[in-house]
Formats: sequence, structure tokens, C-alpha cells
Amino acid sequence: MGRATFPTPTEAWLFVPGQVVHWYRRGFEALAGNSELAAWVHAVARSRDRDAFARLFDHFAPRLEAWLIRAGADSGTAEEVTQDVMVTLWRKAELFDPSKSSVTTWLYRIARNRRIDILRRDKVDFVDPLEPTHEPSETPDFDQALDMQDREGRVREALTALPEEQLALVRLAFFDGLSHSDIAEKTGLPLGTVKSRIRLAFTRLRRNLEAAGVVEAS
Amino acid sequence: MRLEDQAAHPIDALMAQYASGQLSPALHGLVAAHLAIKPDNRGFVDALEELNARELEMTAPAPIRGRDSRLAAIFDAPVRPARAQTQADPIIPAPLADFIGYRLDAVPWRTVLPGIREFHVPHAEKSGGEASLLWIKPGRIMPSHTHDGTEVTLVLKGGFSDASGHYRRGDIAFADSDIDHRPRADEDEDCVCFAVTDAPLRLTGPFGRIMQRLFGH
Repeated sequence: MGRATFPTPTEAWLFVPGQVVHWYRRGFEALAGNSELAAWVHAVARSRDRDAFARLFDHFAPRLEAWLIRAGADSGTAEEVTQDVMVTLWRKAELFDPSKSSVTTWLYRIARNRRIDILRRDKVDFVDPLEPTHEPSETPDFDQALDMQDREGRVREALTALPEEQLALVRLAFFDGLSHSDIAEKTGLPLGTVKSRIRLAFTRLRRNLEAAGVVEAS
Repeated sequence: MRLEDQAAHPIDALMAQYASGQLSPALHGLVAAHLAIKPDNRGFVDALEELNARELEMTAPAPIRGRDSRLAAIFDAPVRPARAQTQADPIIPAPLADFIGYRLDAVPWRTVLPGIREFHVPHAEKSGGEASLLWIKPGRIMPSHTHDGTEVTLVLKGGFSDASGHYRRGDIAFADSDIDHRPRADEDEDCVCFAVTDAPLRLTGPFGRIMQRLFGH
């Protein structure tokens, strides 16, 4: 083993044993209401149920705006993207397919793509976020066989099975969206090391997902 | 090369950045087109999107101003006409055709060298990075070139080889600035590629925000 260069003393809080893992686990419990969310979307699709929609709005709009602001959007853009996503949900709820994804994942994709469209706004007036442009193609049947609940558990485990050092880097690069040079600055690691470790972390995550049977082996 | 680098492939990190919405519009379109053409990475990206969705679910809600009027606006607003999008063609999948702004048969090419044509996507630089569509005649070698970041290339038609391997339709090739990058088009077919020089967008604010998140829960 070489000299330990990560964490630096000031970042030791990232590596309190069990801390990062524990933090993730807490979040997954919040998904318990997934079938309830799906039922509300179904009610909107079936009868344009305004009460069901208001409940979806109250659940998702505050989270989407917070997430967008964290991702670097100003508050005006965050509100605009969120409102566009909610309009899409209201008008196109029937396009949600509970056998393919959770409501949260579906809305997440719509919000992410809408935000990218807004980044090139001088070209784009309004792109319907559900145009085929942004709908991912069908995933091969491989993972359709897995029950969604089972699948979610396996995805979670594949992530938390990463060594904590890599999990911390994944958090900074993937969820917090820090650039490699930001991470180098914060951790005191050389830029090249940050880059190679992040690459390694995502390749390992992929191998974990393959081993868990969630992703077909490449 | 150190041991730990040998197992890692940059495409996995690229897929992760795509899933979490961190790529420039040019690279986002490149990856979307890759996923549309080739199934290989779809399952991985699905799983990464699920992880991001969980992150969204965990996010502490922001206060919503004017909740009732926003709901009313959604219920009562007239249908907004969507902008007409550039249609896909058999070579350029929809997400990328819309970014480029042209179908393949309507691209305003510029001849760079005999047998090599290029279309520089003019609006790409405004949102970070440079993006070009390239048309290379069979067997032509691209002149040696250098670039600052990483160049990411998606093959749309035909194929090419360089020092790192052989790439066909749907494949993504990476070239760092220190690699001698002289791709040669396959002999049997014209090669069309979409190449992006990466300038990742900086999407987050100060480090303090993360500290706040970690301790604020």
C-alpha cells in the first residue's frame, strides 16, 4: 500500500465509518410511497384528477426545484424547469409506464433533459420533453424479468458495496456534480489521480451492477 | 499505466455524467445518440438514472412560492405549441439531429481537405465545448490534430481505426490531448462521425453547499 493521500484531515468527516453508507440508506426509505405516487399518476391519466395532481405537485415540485438549484440552476430557471415538468406530467400522465420505471425516475429524466434544452436556449423555444428525442430506447429484455422492487434493492447494494473512498468520490462527482479540478482542490489529490479514481469507481460500479444481475455483462 | 487504471474505461464515467445531467448539450446529444443506436450501455444508464432519482427523492424540499397560482396555471394554460424539431434520419438519431439542426442530406458541409468535409455546429460553443460533424471518404486519414480536453467521437456511419482500436457505427472513441490521434476511415465505406471536444459544464456552487447538505439532514 502506498501513502494514504485521501482523505486529507479536513475531509475526514467524509469517512466516518458507516457514515456515507448510512446516509444513503436513509434516503431509500423515502421511496416507500412509490406505488402511491404511481396511483396518483394513474388517476391524473384516467380522469385528470386535480386532487391527485396537487398531491404529486406538492411532492415533486419542491424536490425538483431544490435539486435543480443544487445542480447550478438559478431560482428562476429552477422554477421554469419544474413548471415545465409539471405541465408535462399533467398533460401526458398516460405515457408513464410503471413496468419500466418509478414515477421519480420518469420525472427525473424529463427534468434533466428539459434543463439541458434550456442550456441552449437561443436555439430552443420549447421542446416537448416527451418527444421521442429524449425518450430512451427500449432497454433489452434482460432486466424486465426482475421485479422493480428487487431491482431497486440490487442497484442500491451495488452502489453501497463500493469502497467508501470511491463512494465518496462518486458522491462528489456524480451527485454533487463537482468538476475533477474542484475535487482535486477539495481533496488535495493530484488531478490525474482524481480522474483515474473516478473512472475506476464507475467501472467498478458497473461491474457490481453486472454481478448483481441488474446490468447485462459487457 | 498504473494497475488501477487498467480496469477503468472512460465510457463508464461518461455514462454517469450523462445520467446525472452534467454533460454539455453537445455531449448529452452524443451519448443519447449512442444509446439510441447501441443497446450495450442502456441497462447501466437506467441504473444510474435510478440512483439519481433516489437522490432527487432524498433532496430536502425547497419552499414553493405561489403554489396555488402555479397549479392554476398548469390546469388552465392553453397548450403551448412545441417547436418543430429537426427530424431524425437513418444515420443521425433524433436527439443528435435536433442538436445539429440538419438532416444528413441537408448539412452545409465545408471541405477541409480532399475527401474530408466538416460541419462545425455553430451554437455548440455557447454552451461549452466544440462540436463537429465529419464526413470522411473511404481510406482517408484525418490530419494529426491536438486539442485541449478530451475529444469524444461517435461513429454514425462506416468506421475508423486509430491507435486505440477500430470503431463502428454506434461506438464511442476517446482521445486525450496526449494521444497521437490520426483516425483512418475504413476502406469499404464513407465514414460519418460526430466529434465533441469536451468542456464539461460547471454545474455546482461552493463546497459549502455540500457540507451543508451532509450536516443538514
